[in-house]
Amino acid sequence: MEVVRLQQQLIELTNSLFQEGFLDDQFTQLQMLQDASNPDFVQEVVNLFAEDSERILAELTKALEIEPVDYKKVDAYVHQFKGSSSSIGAQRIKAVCVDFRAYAEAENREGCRQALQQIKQEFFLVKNKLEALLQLEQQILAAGGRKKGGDGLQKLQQADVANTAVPFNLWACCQQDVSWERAATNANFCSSCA
Amino acid sequence: MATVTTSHSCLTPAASTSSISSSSRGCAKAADATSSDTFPAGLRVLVVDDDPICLLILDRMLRHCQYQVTTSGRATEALAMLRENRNSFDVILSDVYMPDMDGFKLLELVGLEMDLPVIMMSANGETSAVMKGIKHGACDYLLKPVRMEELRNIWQHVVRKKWRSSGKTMSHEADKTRQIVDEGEHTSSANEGQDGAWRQSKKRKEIKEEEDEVDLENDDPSSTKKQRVVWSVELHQQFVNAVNQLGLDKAVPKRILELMSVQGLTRENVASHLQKYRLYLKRISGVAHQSASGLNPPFPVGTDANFGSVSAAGLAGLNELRNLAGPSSSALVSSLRSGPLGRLNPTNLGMTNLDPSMLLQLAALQGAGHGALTRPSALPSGGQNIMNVQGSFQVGSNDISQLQASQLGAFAGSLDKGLPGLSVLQQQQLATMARLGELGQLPGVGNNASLANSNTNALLVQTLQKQHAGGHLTSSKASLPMATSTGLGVQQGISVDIDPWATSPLTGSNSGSLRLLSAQSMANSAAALNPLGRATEVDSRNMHIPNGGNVAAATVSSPSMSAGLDELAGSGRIRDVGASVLATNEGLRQSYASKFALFSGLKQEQEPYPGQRTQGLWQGLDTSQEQGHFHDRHIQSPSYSQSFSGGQNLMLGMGQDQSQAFTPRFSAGFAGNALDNAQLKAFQVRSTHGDSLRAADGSSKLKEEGHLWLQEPLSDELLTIVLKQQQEGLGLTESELGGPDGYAMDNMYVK
Repeated sequence: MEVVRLQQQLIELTNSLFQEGFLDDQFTQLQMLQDASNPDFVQEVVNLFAEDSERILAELTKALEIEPVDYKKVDAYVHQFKGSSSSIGAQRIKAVCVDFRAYAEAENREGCRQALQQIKQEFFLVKNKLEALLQLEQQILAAGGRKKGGDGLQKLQQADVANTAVPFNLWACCQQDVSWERAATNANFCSSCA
Repeated sequence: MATVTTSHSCLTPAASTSSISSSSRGCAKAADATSSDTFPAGLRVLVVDDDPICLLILDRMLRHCQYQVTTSGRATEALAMLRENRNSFDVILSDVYMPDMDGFKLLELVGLEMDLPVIMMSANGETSAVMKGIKHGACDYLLKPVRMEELRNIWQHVVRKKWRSSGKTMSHEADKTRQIVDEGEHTSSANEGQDGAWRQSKKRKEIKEEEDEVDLENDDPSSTKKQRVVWSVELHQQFVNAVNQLGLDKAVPKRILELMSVQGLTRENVASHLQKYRLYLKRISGVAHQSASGLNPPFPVGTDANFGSVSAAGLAGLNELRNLAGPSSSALVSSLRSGPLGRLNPTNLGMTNLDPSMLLQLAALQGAGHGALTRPSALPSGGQNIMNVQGSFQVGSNDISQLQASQLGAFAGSLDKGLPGLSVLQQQQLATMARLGELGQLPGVGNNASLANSNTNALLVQTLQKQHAGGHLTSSKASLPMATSTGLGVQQGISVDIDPWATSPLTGSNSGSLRLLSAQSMANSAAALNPLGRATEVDSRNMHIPNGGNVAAATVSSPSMSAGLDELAGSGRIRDVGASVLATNEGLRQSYASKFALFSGLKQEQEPYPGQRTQGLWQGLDTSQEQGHFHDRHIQSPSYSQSFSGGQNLMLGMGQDQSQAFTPRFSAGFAGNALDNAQLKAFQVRSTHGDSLRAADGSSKLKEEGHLWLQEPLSDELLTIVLKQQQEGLGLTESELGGPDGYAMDNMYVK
């Protein structure tokens, strides 16, 4: 039961992240990439993202402190940050990056500073949420549950309905192919596990 | 689901119909491939991205598609990997924004060197960015974040490229394969069940049989991969030669292929390479235009206000000559030097383009003086220029001069792109030259043309010098104060020529030409750029050529150049100028200098007397006088002629005609070699007109230099070029100059 509870928590958290726009479809793609041969892929990416982002944010802060501000460099950093955050699916960060770039182009220092603040906030937010997500997964694993191959619901949505089952459409609970059953029951767990 | 499993090996987990389709298509294709059953699995992808997160994600995604992935965080590293083994990758994914190298640059280099499909990626999806990617030759442009589906399909670029390059040879096969693919597609969409698979396999078998029959060097497991042609430096040189021979406008792949006569090369290879080459030239001409327009800094005119200004103006055009001699004696010289020569930047591609126009201008100037250069402006692309130039350059209706002129013209023609931009410069130069002529400062130099020539030469020389960087460009040689103007101009051309497509700098020639220039006028011109500077100096002040007015050897180094130029002060100036020009031409060898030279030196029917030629070229030179002298002199020693021809292959040609001596020297850049003592002396004699060129001095120096030049490895090459050119008449044969970008001419003797 503990596993199920945890799993439910995980699903809720994941859903909220998506709904609130913290994460987008790209994150799902990452989850899809995680499989038996790469069970820690998402964790790896999130860690790398956290690390790299902190470095970039530090550089950005520094760049905006010095006088005169090298807007080209700032723009380059923001561009990179935008790239990496969009790769991981951090949607909100990406949006703020767009604004940031506009400020940098206009050489609006104050605007840049504000945008940087916002980015930092968003970054920490999404970082925490992702860490919570990953932690839950670990807990589920520890409690005996299986590692998910991705949110069953979302996978189903992505899969071509007319298609035969997509291997990745696996139930979060038991890694069984989910498509038809899911469509039928609209459940988050397969009948055998739920 | 059961049906899916059969083809599951080909199908990577698909999240969408499209992926399934492509996968099955891939399957079908794979079946066709001789060795691979799982195409596009195993496709070797190289990913380049400075963002480690993207790199990691892409790596995973690509591995998920069952591709073989290699990642690199730095473009330089990736390029090194590619260069190491061109055949180790099938497709490249590259980010646009990278710290060490622009993604587009990498794209270009890969496209040019390895001809691999490159896909760009970027978070920036603006139309302009995408357009830029396409312009640089990207096969595709993906927006970040990259989705798996997009990555799944990158194999299509590999196949497409292969099919395109296979072209006719494998079209039959390709058609069949396509059929299969279509079949596969159709089948997959309908029902990737066994029927489709069966039908496909049947077709596959048929295709396979055919494939076996027509298998062309297909050792690549991934599919019908045609042997990729590696455009090595030699090969490219041959290509460029052929193109120049035909004339850029008339260069058609078929004819180029014929001229190149390379085994195993197909028309398609040549066609695609030609396309790239044309794009490249366009870009250069764009640069040239820019640089051309940017030239004309006001230079302080020295002694001769008019002259100086004129020369300055002209020189401005010659901006390429960066290092134009240092403080030249005359303002003019300096201006010449500082001007165009000042900018003698080997990488100034613009110069190349400038050359023809400059030459023309020079010619025009000359014409002004002696009415020789009458048609500076006529720089019609192609060979017409030659004619024009000839007309304009006729100093003494010297064939040589005409040849030179034609060379210039030819050169100009070859550079047709840059002509427009040069016109300004040319005019300036010509004006300068005319001035010089008027001033009578350079009796030898004669018309401004000569001056211009010297300028050109100077430029050329400079260029040569530059190129000759490590060469024996010794400034001390009192090489011929080749008409700096011309030399300068030439130099400019030469300098400009340093571009990836250019062959290796005519180190030899450069030096020679430089020498010539320097010797002539620029007594004090700065070492490097002097050739022009020298010329100007000489012209302006009547070329007090410090060096004994050795027209011949345009000392490689600018200082010598000026000296040489000074020496040219006398009648020999013109010669020098010419020489310098020739010398410069040498420098130009790389790009089009050789052409120029060839022309100038071509068909030395009469008397391949470097001096003559030069004169002819640089009308400024009192050709009549000079010629007479020259004729006598008949620059037996190749060095002499070499010196004149600074940039002109004429000298080379002359060498061939006259003496073999040219051979080595010529390349050396006229400067050194050309000026044999004897020649110099002769020169001096000739140049008695005005300030006698202390050719003797110069010659001796030149001699030294010449010897240096002799050792110049390029000299032979140059000679070869010249010879070839001569043989081909005014054909614009691309000098086998190696370019800085690996297109260096190792193989001069292409023929």
